[in-house]
Amino acid sequence: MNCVPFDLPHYRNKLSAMVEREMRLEQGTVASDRNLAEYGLDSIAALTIAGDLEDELGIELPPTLLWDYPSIDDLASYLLAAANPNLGDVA
Amino acid sequence: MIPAQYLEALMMEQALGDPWLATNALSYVQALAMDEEDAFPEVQVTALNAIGLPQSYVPTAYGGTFRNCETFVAMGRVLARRNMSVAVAYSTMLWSTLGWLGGSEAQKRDIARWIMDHGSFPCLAYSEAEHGADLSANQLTATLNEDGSYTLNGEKWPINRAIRSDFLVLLARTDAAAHMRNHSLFIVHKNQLNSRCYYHLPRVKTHGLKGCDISGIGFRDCVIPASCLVGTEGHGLELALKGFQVTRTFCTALSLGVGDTALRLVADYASCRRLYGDSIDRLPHTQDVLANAYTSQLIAESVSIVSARGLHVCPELYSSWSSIAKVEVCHLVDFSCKQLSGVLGARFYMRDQQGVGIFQKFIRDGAVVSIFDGSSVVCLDSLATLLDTLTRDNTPPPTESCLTLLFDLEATLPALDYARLKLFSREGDPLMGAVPQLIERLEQLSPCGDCGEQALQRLKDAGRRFLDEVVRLKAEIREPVARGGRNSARRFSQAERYCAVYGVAACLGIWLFNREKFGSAFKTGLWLEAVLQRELSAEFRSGTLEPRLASALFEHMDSQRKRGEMFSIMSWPLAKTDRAEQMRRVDVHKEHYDELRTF
Repeated sequence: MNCVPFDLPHYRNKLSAMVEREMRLEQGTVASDRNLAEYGLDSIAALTIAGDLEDELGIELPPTLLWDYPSIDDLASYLLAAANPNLGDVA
Repeated sequence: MIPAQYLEALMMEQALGDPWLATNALSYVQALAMDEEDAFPEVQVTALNAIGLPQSYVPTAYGGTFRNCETFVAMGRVLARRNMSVAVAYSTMLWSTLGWLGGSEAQKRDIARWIMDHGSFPCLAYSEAEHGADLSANQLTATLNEDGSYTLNGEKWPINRAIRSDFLVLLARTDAAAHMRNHSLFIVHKNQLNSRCYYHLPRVKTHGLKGCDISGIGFRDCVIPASCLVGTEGHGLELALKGFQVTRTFCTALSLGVGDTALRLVADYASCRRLYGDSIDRLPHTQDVLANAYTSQLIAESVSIVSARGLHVCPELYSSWSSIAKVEVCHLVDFSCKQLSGVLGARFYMRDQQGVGIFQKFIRDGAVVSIFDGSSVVCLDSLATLLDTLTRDNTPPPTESCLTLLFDLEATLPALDYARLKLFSREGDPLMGAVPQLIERLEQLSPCGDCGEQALQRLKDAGRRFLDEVVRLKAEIREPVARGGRNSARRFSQAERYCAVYGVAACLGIWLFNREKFGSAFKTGLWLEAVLQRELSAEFRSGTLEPRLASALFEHMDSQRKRGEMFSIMSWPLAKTDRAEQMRRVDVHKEHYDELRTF
C-alpha cells in the first residue's frame, strides 16, 4: 500500500469531484450519504470510477468497490481504512 | 489432422447425418418446413436428448461430460450448421452455467439430475419488457419472508423457452433501492411453483428463429423456497454478468455454424450456376467474395478457438474477452453473409429453388446472435470502458507457456475454474501484449517447402505492418479523452478495431503454434497473408485481396468443399452425402477418434 493517508473529508471531496465529473453532474450535486445509483451510476461508470481511483491512489481496489460501497461516505470510509489499516477492519 | 478435443463433435456430426437428406431430423428440408410453420423443433430436440447431448452441458464432476470449452464450441457448431432454430432452442441448456458458477453443491447436484436424468431445460428469466439491457432497473420482486422463502411478483419477457422450460434461472429484485446489489439470482424448478401463482405469456412471432419459444412468464404472490437462492442475496447482477462471460464466448459456435452453411450453399450454387459459358465461381468477383468469406470464417474460427481455450487459461480477462469474441465473430460472419447473398442474385429471394431457399433462413437466424447475451453495442460499450486497462504497458508480456496453452491445439488445458472469473478485469490484455512476441517469432522462421522465401518475406512484412497498426491503436486509445458521460462514438470505433486486432493476433498465434499440424494449405500461410492484407476490419471490399491470394484462398475453400470438410483450419470431415442419421447414444472411445480423423 503506497498511498498517502488523508482524512475523511479529503476522500469525500475527491470522490465527489470524480463522481460528478464521470456522471456529468454539476459540482455539489451529489449528497455524500445517498446511493450513487440514484444519480444514474451504472456498472460501466462504476468500473471507470474504480479504475480512476486505482490510478490516482496507486492502490489496487476490488472491481466491485462501488457495488459494495455505494455512497461517497461509504467509499471514503473504505479508502481511509484501506490507507490506514490500523484504524480498523475494512468490511 | 484434427485434435483429440474435437472427437465428440466429429462423432455428433456423423450421428446427425447429411443435412441434405430430407429424412434426417436435422435436414435442411425439415428446417425449412418447420420455419414455414413457425413450428418448435420437437422431434429434433427429442432426438438430441436421445444421443445424450444433455450430458455435454454438465461438468464431469457432476456426472456429465463437459470438460473442455473448445469441445463444447465445436459441438455447437455442428448443430448450428444444420438448423439454428434447433441450436438455439437447445442452447438454453447452457444457462445451467449459472448453477456451476454460483450454486451450492446441492443445487449443482439437482441441476445435473434435472438435465441428465429428465432432459429438463432451463430458461434465462432476466429480461423485462420495460428495461432491456438495464438489468439493475428490473422490477420483478422477490420479497424475503420470515421463514426464509421468497415471494415473487412481476413478469419476465421476452424469454427464450419460457413456456417450454422446466426450470428458471431467475433474476429478481430483492431490494427496492437503486443500487447494484439490489438483485438476487434464483434457480427454481417449475414443480416448486404453485400453478395458481404463475402464468405464461404467449409466444411472440419473430423474423428469425421462427420456431423458437420466445415467450414470457409472470408471477402473482408466488412463493419459492429459500433453497432456490443462488449464492448471496444481493449478488445476482454480479453472477448474471459473470455468466455472460461464459455464454458470450460460446455464442461464437452459433455464428460459425451459420458462416459455414452460408458459404457452402453459395459456393455450391456458384459451382453449378453457368453464365457466360462457365460456372460463375470462375468469375473474378465471385471468387473474391468466396475467398473473403472463407478468410472471414477462418478468422472467426481462430477467435472462437482462442477465446474458448482462454476460458481455461485466463478466465480473469473474460469481462473483455467474451465481448471481443462475440462481437468479432458475429461481425465477420454477418458481413460475409450479406456479401454472399449477392452471389445468389435473384435466388436469394426465392424460398425453394435449387437448394438455396435455406440461405435466407440462416441469414435471418444468424443475425439474431448479435443480440444474444448482451448486444454487440452493449458488448462494445463495456469493452470501450476497459480499453485503457487492456492496453496498459505495466502488465508483463505473457509467458511462453501461456501462449502455448492459448494457441497450440495439442496442449492440454487446465480445468475450467469458474471461481477465477472476475466482474471486471484490471489487467493488461496478454493477447495484445503478445503481438510483439508473435511478430518476433514470425521473424525467426526459416523458409520451407510449403512457405518459401518470398511467401515468408511477405508474411514478415505484413506482420511488421500489423505491429505498427497495433502500436498506433494503443497510442490512440491512450490519447486523453474528455471524461464523463457515455463512451463516445470514437471510443466505440477503437473498441471495434481492438476486436479486429484480437482476431488477427489469434490467427497469427494459431498459425505459428500449429504450422506442422494441419497440412500443406495451412502451412503455406497464404490464409494468414490474406488476413493481414485485409488489415483491421471484419468487413471486406472487392479488390482488397491481391488476385493471387483471392485465387489461392478460393482454391483452398473449394477443395475443402469438394472433400466434404468443414470450412476450417483443420481437416474436419462432415457427414457424407446421403448419410442417414444414427440417433443413439455412443460413448466416446479412442478408436472412434482414430477412425474419424482419417475419415
